[in-house]
Amino acid sequence: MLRVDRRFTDMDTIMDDLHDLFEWWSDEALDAGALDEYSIEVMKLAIHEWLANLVQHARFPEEEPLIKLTLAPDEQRIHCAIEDNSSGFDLLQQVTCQRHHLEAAPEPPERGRGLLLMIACTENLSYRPVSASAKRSKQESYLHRLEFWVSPRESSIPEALDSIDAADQTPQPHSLSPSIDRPLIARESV
Amino acid sequence: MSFPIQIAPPDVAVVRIGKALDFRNAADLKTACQEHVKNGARSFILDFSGTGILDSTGLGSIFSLYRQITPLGGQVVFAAVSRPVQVVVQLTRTYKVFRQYPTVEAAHQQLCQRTGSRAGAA
Repeated sequence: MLRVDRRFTDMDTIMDDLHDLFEWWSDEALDAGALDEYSIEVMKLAIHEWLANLVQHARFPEEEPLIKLTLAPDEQRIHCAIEDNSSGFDLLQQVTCQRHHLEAAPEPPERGRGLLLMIACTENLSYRPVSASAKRSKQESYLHRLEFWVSPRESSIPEALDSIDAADQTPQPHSLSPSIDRPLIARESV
Repeated sequence: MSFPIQIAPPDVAVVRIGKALDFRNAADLKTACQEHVKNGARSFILDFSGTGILDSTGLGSIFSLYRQITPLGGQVVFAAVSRPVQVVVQLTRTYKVFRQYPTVEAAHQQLCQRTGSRAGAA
């Protein structure tokens, strides 16, 4: 089954658990023709970046961490939702900061491109507080929900990587800046 | 997690990245490479064969190395780039910064030629 509903509670093992999940899910998705190999890698990267962000920066002030990942085929795309019970953050503001930081830096900076990378991977991304009516139960009380889609996209990865000269490369589609310029982020984020 | 690093003459360090370079071990890569820069390494070949995860923090540690050795006349190149790594390279356009080679041997050969031509020009 391509649909996945997986809960994570241990922040020490969450990344390993996630990649274990990816290992079998990728094969299923490929066999089912849901996404091509390149698009699956893009989706995995987006989810990895978001969970890495939670592990490194999220605050879970009142309860044990609870994170739920849902993957579901949606016509020709994969729908992904990640809910958590963290205190959340202003995604739009963080993305704007990262972009300004990246553009202003005289040399490529060491940090501050994770959210931009995640957005470049996704379509129709939104990040919102979970409304009271949507909360499932006291035992499973999520506070924020990230949602996006990933569509099949033609890989423009060159087959031969023999000495690719940086100066000879033309900008590729799905690059960072154009994606970020799209209105992808819900302003309701907290 | 440690990163195996081999020195290839004259001053090239070959770093085997392994399964993952991400926020969990990016600092280890920085530390390992800094040690080799102190010991005279100027060019780094990052061997990405079999690498399943490269995230933004991992990429940041490579930029840290790049910023450290570029003023010294060094360079960082990628070899045997796996598909997950290639996706990151493409989305971030870092192919504009890091040259890529199909194998470590091809990268080493090219770096030696460049070093030789620089020495010849001097």
